[in-house]
Amino acid sequence: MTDDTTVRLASPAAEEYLDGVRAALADLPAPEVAEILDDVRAHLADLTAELGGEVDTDALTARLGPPSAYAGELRAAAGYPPAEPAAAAAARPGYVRARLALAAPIAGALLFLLGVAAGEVAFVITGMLLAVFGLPLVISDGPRVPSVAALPEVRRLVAARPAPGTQGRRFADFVASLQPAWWLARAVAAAVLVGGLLADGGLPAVLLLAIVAVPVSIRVGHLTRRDRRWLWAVVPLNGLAAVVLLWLLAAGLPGPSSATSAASDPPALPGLWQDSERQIRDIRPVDAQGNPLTGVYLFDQDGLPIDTSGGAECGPLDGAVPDGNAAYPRGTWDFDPRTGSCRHTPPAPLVAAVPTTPAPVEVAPPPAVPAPEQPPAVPAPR
Amino acid sequence: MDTSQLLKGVLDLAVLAVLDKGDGYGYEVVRGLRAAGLGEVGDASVYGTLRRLYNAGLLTSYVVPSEEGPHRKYYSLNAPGRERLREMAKTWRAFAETMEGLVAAV
Repeated sequence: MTDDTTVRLASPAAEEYLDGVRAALADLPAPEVAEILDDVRAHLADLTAELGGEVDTDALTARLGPPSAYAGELRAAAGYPPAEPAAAAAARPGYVRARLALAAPIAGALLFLLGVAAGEVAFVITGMLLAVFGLPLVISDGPRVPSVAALPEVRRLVAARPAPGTQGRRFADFVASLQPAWWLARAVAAAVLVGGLLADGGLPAVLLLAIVAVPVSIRVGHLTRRDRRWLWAVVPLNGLAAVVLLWLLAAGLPGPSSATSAASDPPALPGLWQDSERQIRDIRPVDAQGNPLTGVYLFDQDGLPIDTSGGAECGPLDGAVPDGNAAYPRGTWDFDPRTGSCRHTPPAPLVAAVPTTPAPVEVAPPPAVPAPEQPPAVPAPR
Repeated sequence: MDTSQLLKGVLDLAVLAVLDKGDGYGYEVVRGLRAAGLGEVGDASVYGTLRRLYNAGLLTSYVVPSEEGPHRKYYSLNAPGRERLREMAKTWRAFAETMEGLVAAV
């Protein structure tokens, strides 16, 4: 893995020597310095192997001269301008810039987490902006972000990694090997966030977005391994993905499931429905000749009243409240967005086509005949 | 007379000549020069020369992953590099001949 090159130098002496060379080349363009240091790093590793595996600074200095002399010789041979005496001092502002670049995403991520925990949107947005603020500071740097990598605190952190071959290193390597799984997880988090929560598209939208997000996330992962500048954008977004994943785990996927259940669960709909497709808002009884009847009370097979008023979008605060106990026809209640309250529409004149074949006027027995006919017709389409 | 002073003028030629025999990473070039008898050339000078020749477009480089240490960056002579090597070798032969004639009587 390319990002291991900086820590593959087992010998602290070689690492120290490399730091000395890096400092002496600090005034050169960062990408060029990175290229040179790649060579020097390999050189020191070769020398270490040649000298028997373990070297101290004295052995390296005896063989190569002090780091500043090595850097000077390299500059002369490579045709770079000789180091100015001010080069060391000029490296200081570089440190300030690098520290700012490093602090921006860390402070941003902390502020972001704080904002999510406290539910403060302003904190979340400020955190994101702060992380983005760090971006221009590193873009001019090389892909390995040498100016940040050269910071003493970053070098100490890298040096604190467990030595190769130890139990701790094996564990760290194992955790690092799980990285592609995280790339998948964060893609799912992004899909849930955008498709399920922001767009409220339900499970299909989340799946569709995940199909796009997974390859993108893996590509970004590989890019980040090669070009560490991506970290400045990736780390805050990773934090966001982690929050979403934790929230998903805690809530047990409530976003997508609740969004879909509303559409597929007919019993959740208030009011009276025909085949859960057509809402029955009023019932217009007519007699066998087609003459409209008024003052009709309707009951179901159990003798319970049939009420059509449940689906009306009217609350108890509205002036006209549907009466669930009134006789049919009742008329309909409509929500008027202009007045913000419900309006009652009385039953309009109706011409109903009455089936002409059933001549018997006696109403008592026939209901027994159509009744068994209707129930099979209801479940069939569903 | 200090050989290192003489070397400075011909290090490009020496490095190009070593790489003409086959691609190599930095330390291989150092060893190639040593093996040829140029023991006084400094390691850092070789690495610096490689960088300059590379920046001048005479070399290409490719990285070979290594199990043990850092990745090895191999340098390889390209067409302009070979052309430059031929020119420099020609110049060198003429120069060496001239110098030989000059010091033959000594």
